[in-house]
Amino acid sequence: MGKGEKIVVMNPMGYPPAIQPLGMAPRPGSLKGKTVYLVDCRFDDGDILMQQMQAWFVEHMPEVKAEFRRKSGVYTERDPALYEEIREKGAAAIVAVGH
Amino acid sequence: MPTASIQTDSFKDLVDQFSFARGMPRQRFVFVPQPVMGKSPAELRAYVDGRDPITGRPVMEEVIEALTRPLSEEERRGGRSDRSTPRLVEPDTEEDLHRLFLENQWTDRLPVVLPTEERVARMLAATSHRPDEVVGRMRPTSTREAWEYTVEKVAVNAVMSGARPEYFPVILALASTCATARGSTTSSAAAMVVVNGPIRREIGMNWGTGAMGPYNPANATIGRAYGLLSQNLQGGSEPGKTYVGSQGNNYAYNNVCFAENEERSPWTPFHAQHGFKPGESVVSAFGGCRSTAFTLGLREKHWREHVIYLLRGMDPHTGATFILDPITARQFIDRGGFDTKEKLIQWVHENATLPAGIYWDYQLIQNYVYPRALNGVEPYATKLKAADDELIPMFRPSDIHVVVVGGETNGYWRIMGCGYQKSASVDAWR
Repeated sequence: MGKGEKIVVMNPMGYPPAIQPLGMAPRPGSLKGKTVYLVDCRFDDGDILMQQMQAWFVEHMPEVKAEFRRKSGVYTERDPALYEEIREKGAAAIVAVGH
Repeated sequence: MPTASIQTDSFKDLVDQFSFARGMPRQRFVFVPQPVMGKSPAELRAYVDGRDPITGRPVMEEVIEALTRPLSEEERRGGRSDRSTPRLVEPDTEEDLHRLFLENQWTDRLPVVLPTEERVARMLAATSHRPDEVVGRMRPTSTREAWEYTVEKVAVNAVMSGARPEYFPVILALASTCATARGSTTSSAAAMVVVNGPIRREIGMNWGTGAMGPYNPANATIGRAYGLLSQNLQGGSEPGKTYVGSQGNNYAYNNVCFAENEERSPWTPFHAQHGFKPGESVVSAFGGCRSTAFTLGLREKHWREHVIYLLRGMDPHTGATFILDPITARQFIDRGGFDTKEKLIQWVHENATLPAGIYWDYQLIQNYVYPRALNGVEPYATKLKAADDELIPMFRPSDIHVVVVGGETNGYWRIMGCGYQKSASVDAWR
């Protein structure tokens, strides 16, 4: 192939899966009188961070019940029992710490 | 459930890409500084009281807003995107195509062979499989989306690596393991590749002097092809997004690819330990290669202590693969009576121990093993019952492997901290 001649080459990338749209959960207008779960997903020292956030709620938003939980299993795994508890008793969740 | 997701700021690009692929491109993230690991409660309280390093806004103000602000139409609907990969790249000059491949992050940043249709056709002629046959699906981590690839797509990456067509069945077999060589882990893990059986000789692989180093085209390019196909067929390996290895790893340039020295090994070859016939050609993929320990030979008086100290210098979360020159393999028989690899593995399992309190305090054991122990997964649940000063095994027998390689210029040997992933028949891809 000569210099400046255009050539055709093949694309090395694989084939991505289709993306299915996932709508977010409706938000409550306020957290007053509600329970918020603070979930440590068990990565590094996320539990300490979430306990400090729990303390923040006690000091700044005492009208919110901030429940601290450590997720069962490795951080990549789901915890169906905890998620069910949050769905049943909670108004919202804060999950940490992602990376 | 309304959720606010707390991330560290190093991973802004990664979580944006992740939420896009999950169909929730406007997911509400709040960022705190990196790292969280090792910080005191007071330091982490400062994170909570402080500002999001990405937006500059107070962290807790953002958290409350993420949980209470009404959804926009796009947030309510979610995001759809029709993505596809064209078969060909727009025609261009050779120089501009090399630039494009670099800009698109399709290479390891070393020069590549441009995959023209003619070159790819020559590669495809080395297998009986159809170009459009699906080989597998691969992802950079267990939580990311998996991308699909065909025989032709593997051939494109094999051409780019400089591999010769006769190597292609080994490369296809590696691709069929679906084990990525470009894992997106902050730990900077690389892969390792071990080839067994007649194919080693057919394609001129090196299992003797310098087998794990440069100079052998098959060892060099099969390992490089594994890296290139992993990064491209899984959907990318982009620093900060789909490659987050903090320090990186030079092993990843050719993924420590070598053949086992079956001819000079006193033991059963690796593939025969894993269900294949000795006469079959097989490639085996290892992952998590980070640490390497070495020493010279086995001293008569204190060889046991020397081996155990090497192992205690490694992180117990990742398995240990003994990579032995034939000289040292025979020494393990002479010194310890290990006339099978399995006997050596059992000895390592029983003697490489740590006090339980020290074992459970390793960060990676806390992240990956302790939660499983709490869930009753054995043998971790039993280990968890040990008193702090009780010695417990660092590794399960299934985490310990032995491979013989080297040209007997001396008895140097090493232990690679890595985990066995999967073996695949090369003959099945001829």
